[in-house]
Amino acid sequence: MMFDDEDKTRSALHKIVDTPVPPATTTAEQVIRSGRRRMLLQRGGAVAAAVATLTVIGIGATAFGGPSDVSPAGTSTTPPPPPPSTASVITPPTDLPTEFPDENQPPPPGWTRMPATDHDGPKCESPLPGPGPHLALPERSEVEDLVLGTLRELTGEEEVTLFESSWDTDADKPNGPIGRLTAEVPADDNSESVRVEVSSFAGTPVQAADGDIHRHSNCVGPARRVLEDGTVLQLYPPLAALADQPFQDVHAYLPSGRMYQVFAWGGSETGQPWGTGKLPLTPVQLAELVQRLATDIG
Amino acid sequence: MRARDQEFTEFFAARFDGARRIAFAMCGSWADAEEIAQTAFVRIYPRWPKIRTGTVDAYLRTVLTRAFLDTRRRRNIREQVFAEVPERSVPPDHSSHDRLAMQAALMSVPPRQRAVLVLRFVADLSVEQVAETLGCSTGTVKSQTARGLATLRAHVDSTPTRSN
Repeated sequence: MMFDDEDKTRSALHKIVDTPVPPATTTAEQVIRSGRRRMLLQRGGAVAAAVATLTVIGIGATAFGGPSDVSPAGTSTTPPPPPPSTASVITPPTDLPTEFPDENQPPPPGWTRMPATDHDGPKCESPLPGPGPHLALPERSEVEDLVLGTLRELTGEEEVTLFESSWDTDADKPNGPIGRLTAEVPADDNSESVRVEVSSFAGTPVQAADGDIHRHSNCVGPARRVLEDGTVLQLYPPLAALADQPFQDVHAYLPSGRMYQVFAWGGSETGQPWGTGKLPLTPVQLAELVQRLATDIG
Repeated sequence: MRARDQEFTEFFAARFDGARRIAFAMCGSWADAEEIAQTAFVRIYPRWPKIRTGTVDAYLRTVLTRAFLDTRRRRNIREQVFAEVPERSVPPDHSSHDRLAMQAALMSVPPRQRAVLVLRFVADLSVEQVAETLGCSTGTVKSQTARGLATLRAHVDSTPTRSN
């Protein structure tokens, strides 16, 4: 019988591929381009991948909204005027959104959905951030401990680990000091990631948040809440630039000029090369994490 | 980045057609096979510096097989590939009938068992290597192999032989 021993089976099944292979249309260059895009997304730079203007602006200066005194040649370093603010909601930080954001649903109590209309043309693009105060960074260990502790508490996963952490304290760099850390959360046989960036911004919290409304250039407005001390939280709708690695981020703009950005996505550097198809944190948890950073560390 | 891309380009040139053949055996379509292979190489690129030379082929097999098995995800990724890959016909040769019959029989096997059969008998991997590729035990590989071959045998037995 054909499949009664391994050699016969192997010989029979090999016939399937014993045929001329049609020429491939895929090139290495195409794969590398897509691979780079995937790499950006995995590193929390979905914004960078999503915003077409970044190729002109420069990822380092703008991808995470940090302040910059570097402008493209021939342009002014003066920050563009912020659009008029449309939200000023002051509520206690207890009723965080549960299902936000769904474009067709009203935002939860305490949150205001920002308009998706573009103040600066039809492209729904955020203006370039202006130079910020280049604030000194908070204590690295303090941020790491808070992030890991909060993630363990919120997800119930004790095995949350710190994947990488870099604290660039050089105030003379164009973007000013930037601290970054990435934590990984176990998820079945894979991992998901949460990245935190701390930097500073120009202008008032509302001005900075207004300037970042169209961070993802998708004409979908984020949700915003303003805390009693004037800190602005801005939660963006999830992105699915890669189907198996959804992405969502939230920003906190503090009155001091400090800015926290938290990015969550359904993939990791140390887990499987594919994503989990879900986010490690709910919108509630994502907002809770950035709010703790803003209020507990400042 | 330049050295990394150079190395990756060489890896791509050496392995892409082989990956397409394995994917074709699994899915039965050259267009889908190319898409699966694309997906696998795109997923490998970000991790390229971390993949050791000795394990890169095993890694490619794992990613490729996973890309094939996750058909729902494959449909989603289809929307993001850089170009439509047209189905191309291959000129028939004297062995076409046997090959097509064998391919039809293999397509009757459930996907995971089919992946096991392809890895064992087309990619010529050992039971242990297939287990490593699929992230399962050797016992599972053996049982999936037996069940896959039984399905294959049943399909062949039920297909009328060609009259010459």
